[in-house]
Amino acid sequence: MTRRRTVLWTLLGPPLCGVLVACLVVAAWFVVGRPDLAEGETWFQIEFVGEAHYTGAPDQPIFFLAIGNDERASGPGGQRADSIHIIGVNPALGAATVIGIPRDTAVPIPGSGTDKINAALQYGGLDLQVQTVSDLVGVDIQYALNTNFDGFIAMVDEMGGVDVNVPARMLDSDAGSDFQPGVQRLTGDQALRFTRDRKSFPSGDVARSENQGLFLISALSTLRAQLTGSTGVLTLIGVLSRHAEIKGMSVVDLYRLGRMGLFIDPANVRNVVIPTGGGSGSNLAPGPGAAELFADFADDGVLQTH
Amino acid sequence: MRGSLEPRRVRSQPPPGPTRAERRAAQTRRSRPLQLIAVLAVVILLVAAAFVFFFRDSDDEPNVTLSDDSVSANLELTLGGTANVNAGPEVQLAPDQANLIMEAVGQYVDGGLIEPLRTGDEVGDEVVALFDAGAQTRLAAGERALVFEEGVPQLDDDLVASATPVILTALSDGDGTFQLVTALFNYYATVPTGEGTFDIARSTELVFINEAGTWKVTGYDVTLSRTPTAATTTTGAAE
Repeated sequence: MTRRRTVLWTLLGPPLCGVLVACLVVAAWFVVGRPDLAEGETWFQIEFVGEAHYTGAPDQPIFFLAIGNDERASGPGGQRADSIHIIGVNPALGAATVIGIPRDTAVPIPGSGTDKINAALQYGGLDLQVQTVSDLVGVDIQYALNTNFDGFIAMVDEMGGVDVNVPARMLDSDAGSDFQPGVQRLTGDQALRFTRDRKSFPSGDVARSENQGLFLISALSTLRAQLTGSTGVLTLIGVLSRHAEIKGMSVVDLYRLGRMGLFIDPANVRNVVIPTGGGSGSNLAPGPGAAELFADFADDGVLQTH
Repeated sequence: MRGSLEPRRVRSQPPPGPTRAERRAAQTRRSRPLQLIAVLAVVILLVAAAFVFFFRDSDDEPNVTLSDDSVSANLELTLGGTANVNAGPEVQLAPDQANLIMEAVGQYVDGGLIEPLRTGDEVGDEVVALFDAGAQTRLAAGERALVFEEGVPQLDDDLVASATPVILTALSDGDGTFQLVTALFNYYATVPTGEGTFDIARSTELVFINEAGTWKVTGYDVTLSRTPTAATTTTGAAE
């Protein structure tokens, strides 16, 4: 009997002791509480910070035409495209290109022979202007926006102005410009003067077109600083819709494209003007290298070799 | 003779028959049905006019007011205000539409943020269905754990959650039809779990699109932090 008890204790004793110790530890945990943490120690590992964004924006390159026409409340005007910029956006690369086409560039206008490119708007409205630029550059332009003097001024003012780094002294009595170089916030009226000035520069219309592209990129920078999220983009759409003719875009498209555009870092946006040659002053023609520039641009909306 | 030959003036006598009073009474009896019909017609016209008036009134201006009730069963989640952005004529988002969007926000918070913590399960299909096809594709591609509270420890005690009032911004198109509405709010929760307590802070902007009368989430911007509750974390150098 004693021998059997000894064997039993030998077999069952250690496991029973283990269970007893475990029970005591658990009991102590509940009575005393869990042990204090050492300083610097994190009790558990859940620590996470992250963001998720989805806008439904296209993931393929898109091409967009921005027109500023010369229609105004007083003065000659009409509806000629004074400012012509085709913008390619490559969402995958997070990059874009702004190509300015000087308004005096002579090009074939469908149905109207060869004429200054800005006349297409007068001959056939925004549709013909889009077709003319599409034919010239060799891309399918899906979207376009056209505004006049008053619309441009109102848009800039309703945005609260645009911060522009004025590249050089600008003084042009015809355009009304009088700017010192450096960063400054331009009102709508000042922005119009800045983008119309061509007499402050030896290269005239080419420099003006480049400054117009600079203004577009500056507007992107300003908007990125001001608009965080979708609500701001909706407000911007309201501004654009009130002051511009918009082609190919519903307000939903505008939202998606606006969000896509605001994701682009302005540092990744190139600003170029097409090479012009032959003719001069107010009678330009696409110069050598223009075809190569267009080909580089047309494949994905950004420039690789220019 | 003359006198006898003159035709005698005879005073005409009324023919024998009913008296004037009798005729009037008879006429009254005959016209009573007509009067009844006329009164009935007037009553019907009045009722019809009232019906048309009230019916049309309810069509033009639905008798719905903005709800200030919480749209969440778990926390106070209310509408903080509505702003309208018009690309065309000046219009305002109707209260019933704002209420529908708020209901969807409530379903997202309850079903997408709180229920997974309670059950430890994935978010239900009915919550995923609040998102449109494009957004669902994006969620499936890897953002569920950010947009929803999935993959975190399960609650083992009461959740403490709160949210800022929801601000709606509605965009109408050139025809005055509302196409997009953003819902902006912040959400906070203290989550006791078996692995300790942690805090959740979310800045959320949901973009709703009108899909054939149903508001679906077509875009989102979510900033999320999950951090251990301060009381369970110490800082500083170890001694």
